[in-house]
Amino acid sequence: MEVAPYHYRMDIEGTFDLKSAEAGQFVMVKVSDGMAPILRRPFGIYTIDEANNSFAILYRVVGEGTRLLSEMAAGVKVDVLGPLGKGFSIEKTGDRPLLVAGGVGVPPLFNFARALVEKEIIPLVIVGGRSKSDLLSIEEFKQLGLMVKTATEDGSEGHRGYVTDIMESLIAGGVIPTSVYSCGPELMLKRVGEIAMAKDLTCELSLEAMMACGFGVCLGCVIKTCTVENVEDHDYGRVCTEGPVFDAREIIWE
Amino acid sequence: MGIKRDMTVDIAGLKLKNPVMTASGTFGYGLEFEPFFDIGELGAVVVKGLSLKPKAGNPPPRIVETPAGMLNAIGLQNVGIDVFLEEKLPKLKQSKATVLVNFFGNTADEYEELARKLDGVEGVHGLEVNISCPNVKAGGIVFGTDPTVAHNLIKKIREKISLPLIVKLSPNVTDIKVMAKAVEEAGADAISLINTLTGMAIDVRKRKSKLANMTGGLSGPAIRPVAVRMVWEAAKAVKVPIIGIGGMVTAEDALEFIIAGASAVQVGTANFINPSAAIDVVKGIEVFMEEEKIEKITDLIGSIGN
Repeated sequence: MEVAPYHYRMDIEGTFDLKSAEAGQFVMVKVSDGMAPILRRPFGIYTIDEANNSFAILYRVVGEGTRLLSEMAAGVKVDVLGPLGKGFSIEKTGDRPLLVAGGVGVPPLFNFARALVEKEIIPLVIVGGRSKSDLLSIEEFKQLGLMVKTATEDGSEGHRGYVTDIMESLIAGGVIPTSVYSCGPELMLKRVGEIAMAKDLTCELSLEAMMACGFGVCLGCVIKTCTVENVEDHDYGRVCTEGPVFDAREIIWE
Repeated sequence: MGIKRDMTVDIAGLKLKNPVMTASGTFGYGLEFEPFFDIGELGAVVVKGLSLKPKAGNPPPRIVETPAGMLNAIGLQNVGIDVFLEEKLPKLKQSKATVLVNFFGNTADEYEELARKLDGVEGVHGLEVNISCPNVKAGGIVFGTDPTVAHNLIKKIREKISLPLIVKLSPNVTDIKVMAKAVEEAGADAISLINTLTGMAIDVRKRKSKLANMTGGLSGPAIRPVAVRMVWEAAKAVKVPIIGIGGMVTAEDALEFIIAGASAVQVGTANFINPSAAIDVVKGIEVFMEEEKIEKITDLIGSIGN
């Protein structure tokens, strides 16, 4: 279902273990029966409907895989693996978490917002995009009873500029969140992490990477990481298994 | 179902319950697949290539999708032999799988040391030598592209160990038959082929390779016809069993290799896409034998003739 220009929502029903699913986890979807393309595509879980054994993904058409997915007819069978990976740590949020989403980084954060609201924790939400039509799920966040601040690069909606501008001005104005959770483009995540770490805030970032398997064996989706205890202890962490959600302190940006 | 079909094969002195294995580097240390199926039902499990010391691997991006395949430049990332023996193998033993350990070194001495460390370890049923990495001492020449260098290396390992020894060949050579003969004469009990084909993909907007390592290894269905041809050539050239590898996804794909002359096969990239791919191939071969009224899988090996 097209929810915005180039953006689609797909609801998937099946026998998944959704009870133990953590917000921030993802699924690997086979977008074609054949070889073109051959690899599955990863998608963050957008929302879960446990009663109906279904969940939804929300994505932007960016290439061949997502185009094929967007052209699937309702009711067809789709091959899905998941939920996979490590989600956001909901027990560390404190009572005033901040969620920062850029572009198609919205889905896992929306799922996280739902989980937080269920626990009666009210996060503050910042959503950004290039233009007004890239701002996803604003109404859905509001329906959860959350306050949403927006930023667009072209100024067509909300603050003209970046989500991190809003984040910085909030903090400068004394609105200090207890924790920060973010998903979106790499440059944005890096900046979100820097701002949060400068204030010693718990900060978790959800990353994206090219991956072949999604369950830890291809070793294709790694990023450079270190441990919180020792920043010199470099390693490669798998986005699919050690992530996609990482503690901001564990990521070494290149 | 009619009579029970005999899927057993003998490879390098090992009696396998069926001819289907997993290709090194596509099956982790086996344990990652236990949520999906009983890995003990496979002919054998070939674990991710091990080195003496843990290896961090290459910087990302490490993979890129290509038509009917993918390029990878993982850089042989692995936990190292000690961690494997202490942490992975005890769990792998419980699966009752036949375990073949793939390994590699930067020098002939490193290869020999690894082979000796693995020889006689309970739960390790055989070794697969990866000779596709550069020989540091010989100025970076790849062990697997020079028949004399490969022969000397395999001979050196062979003399020191009693475990079944499989040599995995690179397809990046002019004549696979020459390489196959060289390692057979050096004492290899079986030969597996092919490893990935060296390839490259470029981002035209950035004028950059899509891989940080510049080049990578091509795998997946795209390479299957090349692999089948090389298996056919190698099988005619040597007497030791050939293990066919290269882009197989279905049982029919696997049967191409067997008919071309492979005594066993390894499912590789397909494991990434369908974690049950290897066991699906086993089941599919059984169905094929039933349909074609073939009693023993060994009757199919090399049935294409010369």
